[in-house]
Amino acid sequence: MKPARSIDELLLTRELIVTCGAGGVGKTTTSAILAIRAALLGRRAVVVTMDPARRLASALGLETVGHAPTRIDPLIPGAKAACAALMPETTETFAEFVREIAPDPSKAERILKNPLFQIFSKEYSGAGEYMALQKILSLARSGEWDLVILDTPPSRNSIQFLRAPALLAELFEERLVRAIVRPAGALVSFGVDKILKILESLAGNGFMSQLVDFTRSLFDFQEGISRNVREITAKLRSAQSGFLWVTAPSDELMPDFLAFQAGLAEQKFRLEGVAVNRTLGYLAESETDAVLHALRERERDLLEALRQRLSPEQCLAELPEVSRDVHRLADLGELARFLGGR
Amino acid sequence: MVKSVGHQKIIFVSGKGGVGKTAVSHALALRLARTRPGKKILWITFEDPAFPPGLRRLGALSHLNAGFLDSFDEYAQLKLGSARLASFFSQSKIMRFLAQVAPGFRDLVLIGKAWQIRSDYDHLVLDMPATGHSLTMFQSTINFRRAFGVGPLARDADQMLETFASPEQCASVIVALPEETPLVEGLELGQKLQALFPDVVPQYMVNRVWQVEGPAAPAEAALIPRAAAELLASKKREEARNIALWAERGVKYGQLPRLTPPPSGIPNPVLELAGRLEAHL
Repeated sequence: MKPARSIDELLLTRELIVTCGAGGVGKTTTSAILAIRAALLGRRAVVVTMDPARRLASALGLETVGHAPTRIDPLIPGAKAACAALMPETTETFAEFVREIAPDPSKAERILKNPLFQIFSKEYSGAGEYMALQKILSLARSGEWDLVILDTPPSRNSIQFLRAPALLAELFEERLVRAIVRPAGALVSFGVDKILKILESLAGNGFMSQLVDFTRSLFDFQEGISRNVREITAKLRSAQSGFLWVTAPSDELMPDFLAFQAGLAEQKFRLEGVAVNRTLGYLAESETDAVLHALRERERDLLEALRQRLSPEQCLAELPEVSRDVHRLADLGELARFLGGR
Repeated sequence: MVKSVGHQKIIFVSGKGGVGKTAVSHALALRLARTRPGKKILWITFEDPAFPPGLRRLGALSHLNAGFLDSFDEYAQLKLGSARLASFFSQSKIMRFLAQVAPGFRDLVLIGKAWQIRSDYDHLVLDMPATGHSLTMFQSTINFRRAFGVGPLARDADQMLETFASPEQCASVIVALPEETPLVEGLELGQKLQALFPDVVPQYMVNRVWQVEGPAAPAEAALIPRAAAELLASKKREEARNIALWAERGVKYGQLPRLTPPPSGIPNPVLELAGRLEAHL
């Protein structure tokens, strides 16, 4: 079993590529390079990043990248199709989403004002990921793009957010949740009643009333959420979508990769391959320095270990280590061209 | 730098992803164990797939790889006084949902675990999640404190925040690499942490420094070099220029050398790193 697909094959045939990986491996830069590479190959590509540190904007030398797609192809020599970058504002996307699926406007405003909802939408990093998936649906519906590349926020459990939609749908079946939203005076089982009393004694009265209000509001959205969950899941599992793991050239991140691979399989999502970033293998001479030498050895070992774990249907791409920080669009263009000319 | 670190009970080690927080926090814990014989030292990682979950002995240290469900279960037991009730509670779907979908809640439970266990040890060194996530870990405690009314959870959250804000009890170390983005992000993280807890002044550390010789050269290198020697030369030049980002802003920082990485499958030379730390502490 050896990976036999090329990264170009992937970029030419897919409609959605989700890049995942541990923090600090260069996921955002890699995602942007892939989108540019796709545009060099003639596909209209957009890269979506949920990067709160605005690293994409600084990597691209574009401080204006924001909620709507910003075209970057005019600055990429050789681009044969449109290429854009997009950084959705989580809170804004969330509000748009809530208004879109609300049965009526007053219900949307009610949930948007709930303090628990505000914690959910602002603080929870999963909101960013969920909203990114949301954004992808609207980009796909627009028909303006051939390929969407989604750069997920760094996370140790990068797979976790993919479970969120399904869990959200299951939630409506939960006995405890139904008990929370039951009309006053309705009978519930002794066990459920006890749990609710405990929750109240621990978290206080105010918290409980917010929770009841929040959960009731959620039920108003049940239909919209369920439809959405089905659509997102179908999109992610379709033959035109897949996941790409981005990693540093060291076996230290192997446990993270194995957990990711298992998580994807469990949820029937397809792993398209691995992109190893900051590799030294392309450099002419070796053994100039003990540290460099050791790094090259580790890189070779990692690549070999990955080859063993990938199938002919998957790809193993190498991106080069560079001399300095990438902070211009031209740098990304250079790397995108390098990716093809090996 | 970092002179005051080690007298506090809790040391938070944070920074951008991939800068070596795990190795540095481990080395710090080892160093404390070595310089304070007889003291109980705990190194804490959060849901790190490289380690088995739970508490174990690790040489001179104790190591806790804290997991969400176990931590939640223990906390629920503590508050409810019954294991049966606690497990019914923690296994209900609403808990699973909150845990998966609202990492804010997950973070609250994880950092709460570290806070709970602190009384069993003399020093705790925490390998914090990457930048943004590290901030949400503290921010979620603040948010949930606001959402809770009056009750035991609110009291615990209050006490946690009081501990984290105390410079007598907590120290904060920010790790970066000698590259532009980690240095800039590290500095921003330090400022944001200090905005949350003004009295805990962050300490800074640059990890994996090649070897800075002479002043930074102004010339900009080709992005993609041809040979390894060329890469190394420009890395070293860039490094000096990058570290200047901190020096120019008056940031006091320590440095750790880039150690030769061991062959695949062999753990990082944490002991050696701990030895190099002593020079700074």
